[in-house]
Amino acid sequence: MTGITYGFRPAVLILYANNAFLPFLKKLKKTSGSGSYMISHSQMTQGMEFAFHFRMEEKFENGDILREEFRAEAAEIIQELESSLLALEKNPLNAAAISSVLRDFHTLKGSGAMCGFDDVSGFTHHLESVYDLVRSGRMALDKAVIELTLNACDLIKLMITAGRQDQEAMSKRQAELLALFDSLADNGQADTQAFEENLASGKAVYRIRLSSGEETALSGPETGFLIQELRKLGECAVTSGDAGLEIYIGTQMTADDIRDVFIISGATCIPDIQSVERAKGPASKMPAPSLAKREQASCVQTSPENSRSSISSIRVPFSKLDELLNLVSELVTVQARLSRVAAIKADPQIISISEEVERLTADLRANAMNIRMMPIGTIFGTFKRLVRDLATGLGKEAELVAEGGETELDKTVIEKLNDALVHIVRNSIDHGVEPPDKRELAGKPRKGTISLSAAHSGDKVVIRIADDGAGLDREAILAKAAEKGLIAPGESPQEKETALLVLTPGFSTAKDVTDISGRGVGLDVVKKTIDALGGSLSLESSRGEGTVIVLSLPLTLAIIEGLLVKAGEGHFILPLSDVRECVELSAGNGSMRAGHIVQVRDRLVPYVRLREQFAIGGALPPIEHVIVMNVNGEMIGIAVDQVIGGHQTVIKPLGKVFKDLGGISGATILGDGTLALIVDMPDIARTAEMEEALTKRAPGMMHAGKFACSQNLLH
Amino acid sequence: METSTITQTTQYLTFRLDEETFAIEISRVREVLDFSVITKVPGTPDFVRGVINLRGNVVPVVDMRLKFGMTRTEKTVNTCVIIIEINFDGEAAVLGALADSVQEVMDLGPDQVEPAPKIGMRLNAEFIKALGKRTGPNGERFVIILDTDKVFSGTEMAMVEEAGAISDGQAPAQPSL
Repeated sequence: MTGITYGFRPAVLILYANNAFLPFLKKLKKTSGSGSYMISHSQMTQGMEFAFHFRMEEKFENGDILREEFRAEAAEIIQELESSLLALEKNPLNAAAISSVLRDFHTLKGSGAMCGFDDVSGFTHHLESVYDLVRSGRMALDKAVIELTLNACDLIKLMITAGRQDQEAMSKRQAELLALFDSLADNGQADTQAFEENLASGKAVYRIRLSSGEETALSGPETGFLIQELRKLGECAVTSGDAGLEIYIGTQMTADDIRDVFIISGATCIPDIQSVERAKGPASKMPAPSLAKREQASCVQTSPENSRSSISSIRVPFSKLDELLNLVSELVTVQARLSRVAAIKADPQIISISEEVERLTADLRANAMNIRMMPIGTIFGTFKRLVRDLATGLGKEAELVAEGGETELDKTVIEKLNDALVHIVRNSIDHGVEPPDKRELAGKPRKGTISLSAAHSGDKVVIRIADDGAGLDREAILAKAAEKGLIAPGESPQEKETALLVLTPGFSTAKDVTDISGRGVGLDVVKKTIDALGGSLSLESSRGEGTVIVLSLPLTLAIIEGLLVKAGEGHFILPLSDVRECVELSAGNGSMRAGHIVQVRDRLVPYVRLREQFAIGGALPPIEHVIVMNVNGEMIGIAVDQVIGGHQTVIKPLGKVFKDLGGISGATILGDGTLALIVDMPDIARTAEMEEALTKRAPGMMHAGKFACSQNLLH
Repeated sequence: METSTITQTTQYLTFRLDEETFAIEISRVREVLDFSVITKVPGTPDFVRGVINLRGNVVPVVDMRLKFGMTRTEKTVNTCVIIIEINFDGEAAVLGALADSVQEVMDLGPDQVEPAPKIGMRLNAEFIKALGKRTGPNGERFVIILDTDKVFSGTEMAMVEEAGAISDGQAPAQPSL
């Protein structure tokens, strides 16, 4: 027996299952708390089977674990569903996608009923029937149907998450959508009937075969348009299968007229148009689901299911993983202490144990981290939908091209990243991509492309969001910046600095956006999010060619490799991933120390002194160490008293009291139980830059307003 | 909180700062620790002494003597860190407060509590919830009952940031104003 069959009754759930489902049933019992179950078993040919009569108590009705699990599962299914639907929008003949849609609806229906979501189950049942019509070719899948289905998906999402009080509104919406579906399905059927009539009324009947290959070079919407046009000629019946689309058309027009329709629709290759002999009778002309095709379809349907069941995975609440990671973090801290004690004791036996523990801890840590990793593709999927909806809403054409969806990131990072990405993508469509006509004038394809890609680079993940839109309007931005007092009037900063201006908070109000042709709508918020994640953001744009935003993010938030350094009495951690090299700075070259430039082989690297940044008093040691770090692509050094060594850094937040503190991104616990602060290098570099700019600028040029702005920038 | 809301006997933890005795509601006190190594956080005012590691959590430590205009707390055998729970901008937070010494836990009934005088106190009247009165072997004593949420409120701590901005190296830019 390969699954659970169940009879759903108000109070008793009967499950027929074999031994493999015992853990699940135990869980069911646990879930229902006061629920009880009776086991009756019968000897069957396939081995032992049990029938569980499961009493469902009240508690089972009121949002419990099972419902929670269904919510999680349904969210995934709906996402899958949406991607299938979008694939269908491109190519309505994609039989695998149709099957996948059907399967998803079926799963929703089944699990919905089992977990007490009767409304979801009922609704998806209707949707399933609609797609069953589509699969059997009795209903054409055009843009309207897909649009409706996407709306239906949204409704299902609501039904799953919303509370009971919204039920009325939802059932109303449900009825609305179903009525719309019905009207579409009726159209299809009416077509077929009219078609039969036409056969009788003596019109010529043509058969047009559209293969799903590239031959006709028609996209989904275009196919929809084509069918609409053909319908104007006469009655059409459309059947779809994996081989392609077959259109039967009964019309008084000639084959040439039909060809014209194809030319108008923009097809590059005119398909075969065959006249069908009336004498052959309706049976051959309406080759609605033939047995062969059905079998094919069911083949397609079963294969992904098989592959799905071969991936054995379990669903674990994320809080449990958090707990696991906390424990691992504690273990890493304790292990650091052990290593320290072992080194002090210098007992070979203890040292060997300590090393063993160190290795195991490292493995355990890597594993625990790995469990929390999720492919970023899980959020890319939702962006396809977002781009489509936004572009349609704005009367623009845009497409999302996603790459590197398999790149893995910590779930927390992904969650926080999502909002930032939504912001950027929204901006790209709203302000970047021009309306189709304008694009055509500029010699660009009507459809804008937004590409979203993710890739690993060292221990960072680089996410690139590029559009081929209008790009930043440099003049407007500079004018605005001068007006706001961010730059001096007439000052003309470099391209890179101009781009950075849109990231300043002052550029984020709605009024500014219309003034400067957009961009910068809350980009400062995005920047803040990325900074909070320990990542960096860079923005490049060329007028008329588009904008590229590159986000560089750490793989995880919880533990990093750090370099432990000392300045004064304090210990500090620098993220090792950004450290390039360490050089000595001796008292001998005093002038160099004053100028804050250090020579590293053949290049000069500016540096800041940690003691000065953090106002640590006391005399400088005779030899300082400059740690050269990569800060947003630039080499900047930081001078410290002493470099201690690598440290597995479990990042601890400093807490709400220090929420806006600059220069420090957190703390970590050292081997002896004391704390070291984690240095926020990008922030320090920024502060140092601003300081220098302020001291260099002639005092007369500084009016109060500007200073206030600069002050804002510092925080 | 108004004094009139103190209608039943409450337990307080008393501690000394300089020559004065203060009290905090015991329900707010999580534990009392020995003075250990405190890591100074740059960019914070003097009264924020730094952070400590409280079993894996980072907890800020405030020098109440400095906060109340006394001299800096010096480490002695009696110095301790009182870990208290506060309501920081609507969220629960944990904070350490340095005290010269912790005295005792005492009960104060409604009749032993008086509203704080508006003037004549060394510290900001806002910080004082009430005055507790107690007859001891040496006659009547007063304890100052602190309103911890006010002492360590968001605005009080916001001074952390402002003060920090000046002290952490941006001062040179200021004189040009």
